Order: sequence, then C-alpha cells, then structure tokens
Amino acid sequence: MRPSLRKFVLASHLTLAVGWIGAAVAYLALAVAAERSADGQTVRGAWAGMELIGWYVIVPLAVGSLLTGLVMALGTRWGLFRHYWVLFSLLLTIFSTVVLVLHMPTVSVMADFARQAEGAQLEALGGDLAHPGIGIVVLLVIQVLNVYKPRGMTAYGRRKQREQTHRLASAGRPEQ
Amino acid sequence: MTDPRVNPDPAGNDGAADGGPVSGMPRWVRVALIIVLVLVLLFVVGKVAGVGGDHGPGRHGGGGRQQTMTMA
Repeated sequence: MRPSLRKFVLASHLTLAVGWIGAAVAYLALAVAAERSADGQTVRGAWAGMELIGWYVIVPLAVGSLLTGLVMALGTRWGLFRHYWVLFSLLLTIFSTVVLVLHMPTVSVMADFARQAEGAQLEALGGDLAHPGIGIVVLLVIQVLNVYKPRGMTAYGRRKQREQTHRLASAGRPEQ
Repeated sequence: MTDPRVNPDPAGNDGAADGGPVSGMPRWVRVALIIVLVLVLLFVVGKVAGVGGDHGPGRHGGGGRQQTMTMA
C-alpha cells in the first residue's frame, strides 16, 4: 500500500475504532440512566436514545472499524494471521460486532415496549448494562493490543517470514 | 522519528526484549487463551443454569430480570 493511502486508511481506522468506544460509553450512560431513574419519561427517552445510538452510530462504527482493520492488516506487512496481536484484535472485533448486531433487535423490542408502557411496568424496565459494559472492556483490550503490539508471530507468520528471507537471499539483494 | 514497529522488520525482529526471535506461543497469548476459555465456560454454565435469562431477540426484562411484560 502506498504510504499516503496507508495513512488515510490508518486515520480512518483510528477514527472509527475510537469513535466506537466513545459511542459505547454514551450508550452506557443512557443505560445507567434507564436503570437508575424512577421517572418514566427518563426511562422512555433513554431507551429511545439507546436504540438510535445503537443502530445509527455504533453498528456503522463497528462495521467500519472491522473493514478498515482488515484493509490495514492486508495492505501492510503486518498481515492478518502473522502476528498474534493482529489475530486477537481481528477475532475480538468480529466477536464484538456479531454480538452487537445480534443484540440490537432486542434493544429495539425494549425501546418499543418503553414507548407504550406506563407506570410500574415502565419503571421496572431497567437498563441494558451488561452488553455495553462488557463491550467497552473488550474494545479497550483491542485498543491496548493495537497500541502496544505485543510480540509474537504465529507459525504461519514465521513460515512466511522464512520464505521472504529466502527469496531476498536468493535474489542477491541485501535484506532491508 | 519513525516507529520501527509501525511496520514490522521483515528480517524478523519480532522477538523477545533481548532481540532474539520468540519461538512458539508467547506467554501473553497462552494467558489470554486461558482467560477466554474460562469466560466461555462461565458463559456456557450460565446459559445452562438460566442465568441472564433468555438470550435472544424479544427478550424482556432489563438487566437480566425475568418478567412477563404485558401491555394492557
């Protein structure tokens, strides 16, 4: 990948990934409001907000992070399966995105119920704390992996590296 | 100053702190896999025990509370 394109993709990936974390924190704030409030209006509004943020902000950010991450891995020497930190980041991102997409219909159902419920039923609805809470922890783990890039090549990566070394040696060029 | 780890050294300096290559699975990967395994087991046990309620679309009851919600 050309350096200018790589930087563009990297900037996009960072924006989407960090934006995902921020949106998840905002979602969690609404979930806490729904959980703790005894006011029906607040609970109803919080669930409406969670549904909107979930579908129109968090899901696009998650899919965008996954796609740009794939482009970054495949377009650079890091590769997708050569380094454990990349592999873990990929698997955790896929897992988080799948859980998110599977969970959002439930959020819509709850938001619909909140729109129509009244009184004690509405107050008993509570919030959605577990999914965003655990999701934020997973996203932070991915963030740490991406920043610190802990060492360790997979068997596939070591094989690819040996092949590349042999190719360079047989071509008679000095290794860079 | 460029970060040498932005793109990995193709000669293979993805290794231990002393510069030697790491063969086999690093310790942090083994620890991470054990943690993931424990979490998966906890999740499976929780599902079997019914903790967390019905885990699917249409689930009712925020925060895992089991409630039958009817709309009059």
